[in-house]
Amino acid sequence: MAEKVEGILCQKIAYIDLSRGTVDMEVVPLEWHRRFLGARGINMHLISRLTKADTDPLGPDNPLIIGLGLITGLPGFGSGRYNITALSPLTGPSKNRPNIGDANIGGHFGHEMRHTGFDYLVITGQSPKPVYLLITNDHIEIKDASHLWGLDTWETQKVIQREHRDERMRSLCIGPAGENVARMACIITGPKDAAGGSGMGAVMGSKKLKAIAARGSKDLAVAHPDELLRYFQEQQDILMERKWIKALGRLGTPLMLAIAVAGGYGAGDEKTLMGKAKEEAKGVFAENLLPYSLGHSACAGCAVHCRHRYLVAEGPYAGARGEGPEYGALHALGLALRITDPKEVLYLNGLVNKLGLPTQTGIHVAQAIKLYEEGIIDDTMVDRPLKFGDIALYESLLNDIAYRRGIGDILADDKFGYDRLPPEAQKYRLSSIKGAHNVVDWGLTVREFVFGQITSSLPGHVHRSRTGLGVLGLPAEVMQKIYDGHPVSPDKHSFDGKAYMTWWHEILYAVCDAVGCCQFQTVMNSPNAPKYEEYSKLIYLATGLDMPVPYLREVGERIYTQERMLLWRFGFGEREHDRVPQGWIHSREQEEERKKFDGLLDEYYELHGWDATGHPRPETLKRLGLLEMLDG
Amino acid sequence: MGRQLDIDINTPNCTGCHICEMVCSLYHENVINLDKARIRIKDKWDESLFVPHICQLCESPDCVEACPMSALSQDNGGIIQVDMELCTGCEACVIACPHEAIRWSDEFKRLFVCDRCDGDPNCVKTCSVSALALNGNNRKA
Repeated sequence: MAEKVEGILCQKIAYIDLSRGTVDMEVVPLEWHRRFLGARGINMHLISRLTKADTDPLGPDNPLIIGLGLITGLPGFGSGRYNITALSPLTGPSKNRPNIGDANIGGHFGHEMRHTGFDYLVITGQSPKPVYLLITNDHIEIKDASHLWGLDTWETQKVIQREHRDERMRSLCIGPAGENVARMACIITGPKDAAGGSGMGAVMGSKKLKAIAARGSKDLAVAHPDELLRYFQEQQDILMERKWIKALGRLGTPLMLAIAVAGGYGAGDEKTLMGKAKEEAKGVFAENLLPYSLGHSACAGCAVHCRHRYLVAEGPYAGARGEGPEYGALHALGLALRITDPKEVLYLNGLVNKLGLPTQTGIHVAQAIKLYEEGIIDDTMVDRPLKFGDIALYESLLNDIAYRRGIGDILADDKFGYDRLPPEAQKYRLSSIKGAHNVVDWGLTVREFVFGQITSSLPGHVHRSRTGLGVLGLPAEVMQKIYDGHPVSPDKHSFDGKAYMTWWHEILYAVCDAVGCCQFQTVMNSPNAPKYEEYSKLIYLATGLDMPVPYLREVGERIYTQERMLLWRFGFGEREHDRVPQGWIHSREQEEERKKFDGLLDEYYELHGWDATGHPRPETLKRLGLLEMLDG
Repeated sequence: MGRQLDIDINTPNCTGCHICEMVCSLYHENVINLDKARIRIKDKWDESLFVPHICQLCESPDCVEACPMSALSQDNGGIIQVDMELCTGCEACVIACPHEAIRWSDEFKRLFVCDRCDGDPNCVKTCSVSALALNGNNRKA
């Protein structure tokens, strides 16, 4: 059938130079969709073309890219997702050298931007004064943001809505953390949806870009509207009957905390009570958050509603309101800070969202207290003793990081801050993976968790491949069926088949992200969730493009190998970068296990078409159409 | 007395996913466009609240009463009929509606009000949390 080039395939990409104050735009080349689908795939393609190994991540040449998935904006399939990508100022080899940065984000901004006619924003340059972008139908304006500078993320979004008298206007924005270029700063939309983990908020702040506001009323035309409506309803009815989805819809991602504690997955890190202090951890288990829930909330187009709207009604934190918290926040703003009172976690969760800090910043606070306990940070460097259990102190330190005050200025530099601490601080540094510092040691228990994290194309990040299928206790024959007939052990302690398992999920999630669907709604924790077959049909119904399953799998390979080439460019693509960090090894037994993880690499590289050093082979690059990356 | 196509709104249940608006526009307009939906979700995320607005098929509809051009009428099932030949876009009906459920679009020069999708409302069918229920039938409960 002939492909229709209309609707989604006529959306635009805008190149915005904040130094010159210019905006150029064109239709997104169809070839890009064919090769990379969208979002993460196209964003990384742009990064490969627009950056060099020495591009300063906080300089004007670092492109901040907002990119929508191919079907972002449709109902169902968790299609509220999109990617924000730039060179990371957080994980590079030195302060002014880059690494890959990327964040998959939800909420409602992506859907709204799609209706403006723009699918991609590539923002370069640095404005001399604070600005925000106003994106409306086929139009982009760079506007003064001096009145927004200094506001938190909630205030910023509400002021923009009020200014334009439009409650449907959606914004991505930074808080004080991004303004002050705290390296870990994130970008926020709504009460809590965040582009975190790679310092995207710091990049935005370095450009003096306070917010990107979108309001569109353009039709999103789809190739086969009647069939799409039927298919969505059919798939949603199936999805909502899944046990995993029902549990996720009731408890949200905090449900995973109980699973992790029961499995002792957090046993590796002394600051992680999980697995070590099970009784204390129960204080912030999902069920104990329910008394504060007002109901659920969802990203645009998602029926699963995996987060709570919460309100603390009384006590010292009365009035604390927001959404979430996610599983990671219960750790970083909870257990890592010795907090087991849900009200305190909810309060701190709201605070970091408003400051524009990722919830993982709790780890930085815990690290500072540890350094104080060890006498490395002393009383001359802080205005009060740093000790666990002091919520006012936590609040103060989080603010200090966001505003770069006192010790917070050092902590805001993440791993680079150690240069400004006494030399003995070095031995307390948390482990690094491919330049990502502060990577929490969850223990080596679940082999596919660990292997996926150390090989991840996004440094230290788990969502390139993490799956719960290995901890469900599925029968071996079911596992084999899921993984294309390849034997994959259902035992989380086993190494058998775990290279294949990791590779399989890497390719699937690359496609899932690029399509614009939520990973929670693909084969992550439920073997029967939508994957290539459903994406293929969805793409056809929405765009008219014919992309059969093998085609999509090759696109997934292309996206992943493209990222490997970028890692290589930035100095993190060697075999040595795919090893379990030494800091995670606490026993001779774990030393032996580390060798077994090393032993998985050969098969893993072979599956990707990379050589034994971890470099993509020229024939692989040729097959995937990425040969030009050898020059960059 | 209730009508056969009454839609009960359970506001606390609404998650703000906006699927109802997407499928509404897809069904009626063959495109996805929340600005062309006959149902409206007001998103007050900073107050932890999402509020659905959809025609309540009033017994004596204020919108019909308010229209100076008699462009609005109500059929036997309670559904508001709009004669766009007569409608001038004065928005008297919009102001009169106590449910904020009829909407004029300056951009599209049209009134949007729910027609119950020929008796099988797509918004109700696709609401996974029963924020919308047809005639007391809490389908997903």
